[in-house]
Order: sequence, then C-alpha cells, then structure tokens
Amino acid sequence: MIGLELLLLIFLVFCAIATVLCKRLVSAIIIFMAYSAVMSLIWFLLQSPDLAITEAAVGAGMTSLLFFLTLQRINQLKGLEQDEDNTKQ
Amino acid sequence: MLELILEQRYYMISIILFAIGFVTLFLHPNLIKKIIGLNLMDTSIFLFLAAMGYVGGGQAPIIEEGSSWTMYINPVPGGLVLTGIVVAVSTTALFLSLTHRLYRKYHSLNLDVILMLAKKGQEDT
Amino acid sequence: MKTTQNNNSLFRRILQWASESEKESADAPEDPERQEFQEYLEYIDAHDYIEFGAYRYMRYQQRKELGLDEPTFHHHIEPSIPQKKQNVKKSHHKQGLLRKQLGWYRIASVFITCVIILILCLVVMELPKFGDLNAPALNEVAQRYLQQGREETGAVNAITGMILEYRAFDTFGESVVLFAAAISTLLLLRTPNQPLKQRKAGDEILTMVSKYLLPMIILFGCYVVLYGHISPGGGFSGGAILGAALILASLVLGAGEVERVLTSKRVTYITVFSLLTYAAMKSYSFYTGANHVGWAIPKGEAGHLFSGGFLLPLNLCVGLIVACTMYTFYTLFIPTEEE
Repeated sequence: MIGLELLLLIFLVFCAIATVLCKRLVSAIIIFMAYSAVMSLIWFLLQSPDLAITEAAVGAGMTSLLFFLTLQRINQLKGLEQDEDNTKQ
Repeated sequence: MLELILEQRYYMISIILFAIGFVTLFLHPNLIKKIIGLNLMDTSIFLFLAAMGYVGGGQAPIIEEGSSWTMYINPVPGGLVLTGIVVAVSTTALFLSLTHRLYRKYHSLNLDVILMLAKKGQEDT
Repeated sequence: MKTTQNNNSLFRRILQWASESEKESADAPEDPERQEFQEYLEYIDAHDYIEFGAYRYMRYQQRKELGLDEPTFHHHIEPSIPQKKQNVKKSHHKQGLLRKQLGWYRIASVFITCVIILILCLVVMELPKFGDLNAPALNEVAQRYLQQGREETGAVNAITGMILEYRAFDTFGESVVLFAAAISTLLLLRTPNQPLKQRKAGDEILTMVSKYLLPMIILFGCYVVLYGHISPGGGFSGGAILGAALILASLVLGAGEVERVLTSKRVTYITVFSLLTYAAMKSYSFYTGANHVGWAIPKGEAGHLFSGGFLLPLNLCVGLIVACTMYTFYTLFIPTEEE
C-alpha cells in the first residue's frame, strides 16, 4: 500500500513540475487535469470519498474547462483558429 | 531519517508542491501559468489538511450505530477542504476573467510586457 | 480589435505601434528606451518564454562590450526646462535601479522559498506521526462530532452533518462567496448586445458517447445531492457534478438549446431563491436555539431518503447554488460572436 501511495505522490510532483515547465499552455492545462485526477485518487486512499468526488468533478472538470475556454477566447482575440499553438506568437 | 521522511510522506510532498506553486507564482511571467501555480498551492494545502485528518486504519466517517469513535477519520479537515475546493474554483474563474480583460487591453499574457505597456501608456498621456 | 486575419498577431501589432510612434517623433532625439523596448519585443518574439531578468543581463553584457557602463536614460521629455529635466532624470535613474534589482528579485524569491521549505520541513519532522491516533488534531471536537453527531444532526455522513448543522453559518458564507464570485465574473466578462457564437452541435463521437453518458451523469449527480446525508457526497460534490452535466449537455446540443430553458435570469433567480431558503431554514434553526424546537429530528438511517430532518432540503439548496454557479461560469466564458 505504501508503494502505491509513494508512486502516486511522486507522480503528483512530476505532474506539477511538468505543468510549470511545459511550453505550450494547452499541454500544461491537460497535465494539470491529470494532476487533479491523481489528487482525487490520493484522497480516496486517505479515506475521504467526499473530497475525492468533489475534486474529480471540480478540479479535473470545471477548472480545466474554464482554462480552455479562456484560451479559446484569447485565441479568438488574436485572430487564430482555436487549436493552434498558443505560445509561438 | 529516511524512515521519518517515509513516515511523513504526505506532509513532505505537500510542502514540495507548495514550493513549486510558490516559485511559479513569483517567477513565471505568463499569467495563466501564475494562476496554475496558485491552484497548485491550493491543492497542496488541501492535501496537507486531509493528511492531518487521517487516522491509521480509520474508515470514512459514515457512522454505523454502536461503533467506537476511534474507528473513523477526523471529519473536521474534510469539511474544511470540501468547501475550500469549491471556493478555489470560483477564485480561479475570477482570476481568469481578469486575465481576459488584461489581454483585451494589452494583447499580451506576459506580465512584463503588460507592465511595460502600462508604463508607456502612462507616459504617453 | 476587429481581428479576423492572421496578420494581426500580437507582436506585429505592437511592432507597428512602436514604429508608428517613432515616426511621429522623428525629429526628437533618438529614444534609447523605446528602441530597447522594441528590441525586447523582437527578442521575446524569437524566444517564447524569455524572462525579463535574462534579457536585462544580455543587454548589460552588450553594453559592457561597447564600453557603456552607465544605463541610458529616457531624455526626450521636456528638454527645454533644465530643472524639470533633472527631476525627470532622477526619477528615471531610480527606475533604472529598480530594473537592476529585478535580477535580485528572482534570486531573492528563490532564496526565500528555499528558506521557507527548510523551515517547513523541520516543522514537519516535529509534527505527530502521520495517522497517529493520539495526535492533538483529533481532539474532543472531532470526538463529539463522531459520537453524538448522528443523534444531534440526524446525519449518517458525519461530514455533511458537520458542514450543514454544526457549521452551517460557515457554509452559508461559502455559498455567498460563490454567488459573489459569479456576480463579479458577470460584471467583468459580460458583453451585452452580442449574440452567442453559433457553435455547431458537437461532433459525432461526442454526441454518441454523451447520449449514453449524460443520463448517467445526471442520475449520479442527483443521487449524490439527495443521499448526501446518508452516504458520501452532499451539496458541494453533487452540485459540481450536476453543473458539469449541464455544461456537457450544452456542448452536445449546440448553442442555445440549454440556454433557452435555463436563461441567465432564471439561473440567477434559482441561486437567489436557494440562498434565501437556506438562510430562512437556518434562521429558524438559530432562532429556536439551534435545537429545532417543534421538530424532532429523526435519526438518519442508511438507505432511507427522508430521515435526516433539515439536511435534505439544505443539501438541495447548496447543490442548486453550486450547479448554477458552475453553469454561470461556463456561459460567461464561452466566446461571443465579436470580440
């Protein structure tokens, strides 16, 4: 059990560093989604199912969706199509 | 020493996550990355609180009749974190809308460029 | 602002701005700062996440090679009045110093973070062991919530009983915070008189998957809200799931389908109504001395929906508030037709 917990925790740190260092904003947000999903797993291991449900719906769903919609609006202001690279401007 | 770190693994990892978020919030020039850093700090603190509430061998606090209270984990941090998560989303939405407004005015997500443009605008008027 | 073509990208626009304003003040002495700013823009155009400190350092190296030790000043503002010029120079000298300190800012923030990590790690080593039963966090408060919570609040799920009964005022504050965040986002992002962008209904894969998935999600959300007092879940989690389901429905059905049923006015009405209902129920509770005089709270029983007294309607209110807030965020953030 400790092995699984350690694996998830190290994955968490790895995800956090990758989110920060990633050049493309879209990829960074997708990695942040993975981070939230793993976080909800960890909360399930910590015997808090309430938190796990909320984090899965809110962190992986709502927050990333808001980030994506903001990026879409910004790309629209730039006059680009939606899925183009955001940083190479 | 290593055993102690292994014992306190949740606390250590939450501190590391907090540090990553903190450095991102201070040093990354991109506004969206700054907001992601803020979210990282949020979740790390939630992880710390949830780990504080855990009791070894405890169950989730769905109480059965006639059971002793030491069988369950501490419900207080759980309640705090539950409301905290939802409020974190609303603050994220607020920050993102502010970012959008800034982008509409200055056409950049880079905070340095925004500050320089704002300074230019002040000097021009 | 009317950007539909590709040539209006960020840096081209700013470069255009910089060159135009240089043309205007052609007879003014050459402005090194504007030039430097333009070079900086070109530089970050080439390297997409260049940091400001690194760029300053590069400029400093270049200047050192040329033999210019002094930082260059911005001196075309009012050159006719010597006294004022001196003042301007002084203030700009200070700003130059500030910019030099930007490099120090980076080093200092990393240093401060390292110190904080060190202190926190030392503190963590002294904390009670993870999962320790005798930790001071597990004090008489948690003991009371776990031992008598079921009788006093009627909730099987101790967390729901805690946040809706013992700490109901706190939860009310959180709901008001949600409402305030939705309102301020509305103030910041609303663009009246602009129609929503005509999004075509979702593509085939999304439609096929969500045809089977959407009823399940809605059912699960309703279950989590309604059974929040006797199983894991509650208003906050279930409301988030319901909000996500609404957003998925609006993505699949295309623009305007969900918006026709749930207009922004109705969403606001539902939120306010839920907030007021919550406030009324809790006011009754507080007025009667927080023990619900006249209402014998039935004990919660696992598997029985109507068994927790006030908890079911309170959960419903919180769930509605959260779902409506999530949906409001979504409707505010989707792109409009013209920006």
